[in-house]
Amino acid sequence: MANNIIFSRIDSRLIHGQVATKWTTNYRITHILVVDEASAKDDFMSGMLRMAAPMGTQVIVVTPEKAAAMFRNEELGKGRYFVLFKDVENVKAAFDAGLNIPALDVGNLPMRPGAQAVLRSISITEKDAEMLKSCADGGMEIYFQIFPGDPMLTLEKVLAKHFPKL
Amino acid sequence: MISILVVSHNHLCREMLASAKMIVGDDLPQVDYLELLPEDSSKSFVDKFHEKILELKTPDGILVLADLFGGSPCNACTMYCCRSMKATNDESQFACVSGANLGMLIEAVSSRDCMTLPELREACMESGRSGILDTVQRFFQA
Repeated sequence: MANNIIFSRIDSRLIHGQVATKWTTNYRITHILVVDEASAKDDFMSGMLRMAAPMGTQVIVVTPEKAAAMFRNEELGKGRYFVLFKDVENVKAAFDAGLNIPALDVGNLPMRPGAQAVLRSISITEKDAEMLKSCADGGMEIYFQIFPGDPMLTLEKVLAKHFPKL
Repeated sequence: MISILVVSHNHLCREMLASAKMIVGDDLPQVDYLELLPEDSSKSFVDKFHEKILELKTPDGILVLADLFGGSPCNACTMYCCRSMKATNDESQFACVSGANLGMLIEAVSSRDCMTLPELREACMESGRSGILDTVQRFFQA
C-alpha cells in the first residue's frame, strides 16, 4: 500500500516544467496524485492538471480526505506514485485524515506576508512551521530541497534557524 | 492574418524569434514573444500574457507556441485560452501547441496567410515533428 509512494513534495505551482521533467523521470513515476482541496473541487482546474500530465504518467486530483481514504482502502493499484501537495495546509489535512507518507520534500512555497525565506524559492510562515513540526512529530521525515541532487536541509535545522521558539 | 505568440522559460522565445528572422526576414507583423523570467510569479506572467493577447487580437485568431509541454508558460497560456474560449463559447480564437522549435515557428510565420487557425495548428505540429531526424544515419543510408 504505502510503499507505492515513491516521492512526496510540496510545490505551490503543482505540475510545471521541473516537476514534469526532473522529478518524474528521476523516480520513474507512473502516477501523480495531486492533493489539493481547491483544485479537486474545481472541474476546470482538475482538467488542466490532467492535461499537463507528463508523458507516460496519469494525474489524479483529489482532496486531502480522499487521498487518505484511497490509501486506507488500498484503492491505489500498482504503480509508482508521486504525491504532490499545493501547500502545507493540504499536507496537514491529509496527514490528519490518515495519509501516512514516510518522507516529504518541501520544494516550492511562495513569499507571503509573514513568511521567511528558507531557500531561494521556499518561504514558510510560522503557521507552516507549526504544521510541519506536528507532522514530523507524528513520524514524517521532512526536508527542504529545490532540485534533485541539491543538498537536503532538514526541518530541524530550518526550525532552529528561523523559528527557534517552536 | 493569424497572430503568433511564442512563450518560454527565460529568453528562448525571444531568441527563437531572432533566429527565425535570420531565415524568413525581419518583416513579421503580429508576431511576438513572452518570457517567463525567474522573478515572475504565475500572476505576473498571466497579466503580461493578457496584455499581449489584447495587442495581437485578430478575427483570424492567435496561435500560441510554448517551449515545453507541462511547463508553467504552457500551462498558464492553455488555462487562459481555455477559460476565454469557454466564457465566450468561441473555440476559434486560440490554438496552443507545445514543444515549440525553430522549424515549427518558421512554418507558422510562413503559412499563416493561407491557412485557417486549425490548419495552421496541425501544420505546425507536423513540421515540428518532421524536422527531428538522425542526420548521420541519413547520410550513410543516402
